[in-house]
Amino acid sequence: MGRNKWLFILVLAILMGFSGIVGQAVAADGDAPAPSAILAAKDFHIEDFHGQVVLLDFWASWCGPCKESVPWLVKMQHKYGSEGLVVVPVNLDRNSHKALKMLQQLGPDLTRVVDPEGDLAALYDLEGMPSSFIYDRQGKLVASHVGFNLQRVVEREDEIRSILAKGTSE
Amino acid sequence: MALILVGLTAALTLPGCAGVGVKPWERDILAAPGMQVDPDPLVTALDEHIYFSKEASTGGLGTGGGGCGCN
Amino acid sequence: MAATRSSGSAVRGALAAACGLLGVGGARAQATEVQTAVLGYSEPGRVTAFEGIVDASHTLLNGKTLTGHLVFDTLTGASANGAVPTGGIQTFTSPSGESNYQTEAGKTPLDSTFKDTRAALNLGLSTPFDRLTAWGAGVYFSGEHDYTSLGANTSLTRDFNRKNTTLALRASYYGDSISPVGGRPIPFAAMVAPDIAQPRQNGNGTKNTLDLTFGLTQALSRRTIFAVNFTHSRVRGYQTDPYKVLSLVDDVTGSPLDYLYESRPDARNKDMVFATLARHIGGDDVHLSYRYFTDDWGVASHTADFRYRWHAGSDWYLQPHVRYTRQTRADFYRRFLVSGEPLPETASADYRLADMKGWTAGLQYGRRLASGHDLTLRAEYFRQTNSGAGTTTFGDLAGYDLFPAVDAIILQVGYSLDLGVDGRSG
Repeated sequence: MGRNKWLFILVLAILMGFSGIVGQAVAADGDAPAPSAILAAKDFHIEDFHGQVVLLDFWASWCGPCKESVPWLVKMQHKYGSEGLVVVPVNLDRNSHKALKMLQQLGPDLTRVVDPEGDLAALYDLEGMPSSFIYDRQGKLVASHVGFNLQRVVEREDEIRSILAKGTSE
Repeated sequence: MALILVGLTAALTLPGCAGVGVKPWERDILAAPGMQVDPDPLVTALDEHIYFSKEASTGGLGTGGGGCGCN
Repeated sequence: MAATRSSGSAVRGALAAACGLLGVGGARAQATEVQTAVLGYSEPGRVTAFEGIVDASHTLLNGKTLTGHLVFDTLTGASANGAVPTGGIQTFTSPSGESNYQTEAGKTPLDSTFKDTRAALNLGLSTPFDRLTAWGAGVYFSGEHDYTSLGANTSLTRDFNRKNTTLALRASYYGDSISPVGGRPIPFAAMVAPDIAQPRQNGNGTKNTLDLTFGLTQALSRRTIFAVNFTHSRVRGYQTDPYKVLSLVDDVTGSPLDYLYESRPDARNKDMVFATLARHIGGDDVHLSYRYFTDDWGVASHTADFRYRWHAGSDWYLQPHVRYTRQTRADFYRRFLVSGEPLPETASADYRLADMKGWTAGLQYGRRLASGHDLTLRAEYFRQTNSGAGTTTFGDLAGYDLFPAVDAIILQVGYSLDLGVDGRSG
């Protein structure tokens, strides 16, 4: 009984947090947002991450390869977060509710963004799903990938490491 | 044979219609199982076998494509 | 029956479509999907068949996808042998030439001496070159006691326009060996009593089929997708049904004088176009397809198919289905031959080659179970009518139904498992 009570509170907490998703501005101007919040697309600004390496990843719940990439994205954030890597998964489900399970799997350590209107996707004019873009510490776009293949994760990780190694901005 | 030539012509011009279609992030509906060109391939295979036994004209089924367009 | 029943390049084409060609990319690595189905088919008073399929697909880490498709089917019952009904009892020699069977007065002659079991296996491998291109190859085998088929196929698929457009090319080749029970009859030889020398020709029949398909799939909007494909098929070799006869009837009374074994041309060229439109309307999926078929045997057909998938609940649907087909007869189709008239080069009384209309109406139920697996149930009713156009009856023949309708009931249960990545469910 006791365990069920804590589970209920946990689910309630998640649902309460989730109910604040769309349209909620969390970050103050110029500050990186608190990592556990879920950002609306309009509140995501790449400039906020100057000095850090940003892995921007567009995904959706209906996309099979996106499901495959979730554990890898989480692994990258945990492994390289201390070196300044910020993984920013951007969800493109038109109804963010459908993405709830995967948003939870991505977890609070990643800078999760929801873009149900597809504004960010249109801005980046995505070529396919999933799509990812890497910004170096100077805020310059240095790499992009279309699709996700487990076969290539070693190369992807090497790429992240080399971008992280380029040092902080002057 | 004439049919194939017509089809080839149509198909070779169609990729030029770059505007036709949907953005890659808007394929949620097309990704659903019920919206595949053939949502029940086993039903199709079983039915084709039945109709092959009852009719003189069978064949010419699907060639893939559609879906979520991922990867 | 067995020879023509299972010799379809159509069947193989269907199998290839079912498991050979996935869209380029998109398959999850190390994911395994298994689908199974069991089907029962029954024509009251005629044929009963059971079919079981297992279909499996596994995507490797390197993006290659392996597919396998295994079919077992068994057929029992009686099938029309091509002869016409008459006022008295008719006796036919069975294909083996060792026994005979009889048909009552006034009834359509049916051969009930066969029981057929068939197994078929289709294996395929799809390899992506890059994000947009994939190459596929497959092999096929099917065997039953009087028919063996071996085949190979290859395909190339390419995506355009951010995967809104897909073009596909496929080529298949099959070599078949037909070894009928009792041997291949001599064309137009008269049936003789059992246990005396049967009119048979030496050796097995062989047949080769080459199919070429070109396909286009185009996403038209967020809710609509369209696909069309063109197939040209070339068949050379033994295409006669060794178990079918034609009644040679008296030119005045219309009573049968003899039964002659049929003979079909040894070359056939077929062309078909098949188009499908799928649209998502108000939360449901509508599928409409049309196929036009034409060949140089004189057969031409139009087939329309409509399915409406009503997503009644979040994890189940009901799907009514209607299919209509209309076929014109082969040039060499004859319901019977008339004594005294010159014998044609080729002739067959197989009702499958006649002018025909077919209606199918059915309902399918699908459900996503708690385990994440899918259950499918399907029931269909099929009715085929032959108009008898082009046949002039006279004498006794006018008193019988030479073109009876055929009804059939189809029941199917299907189960599919998505074993997910590394075999885990869901």
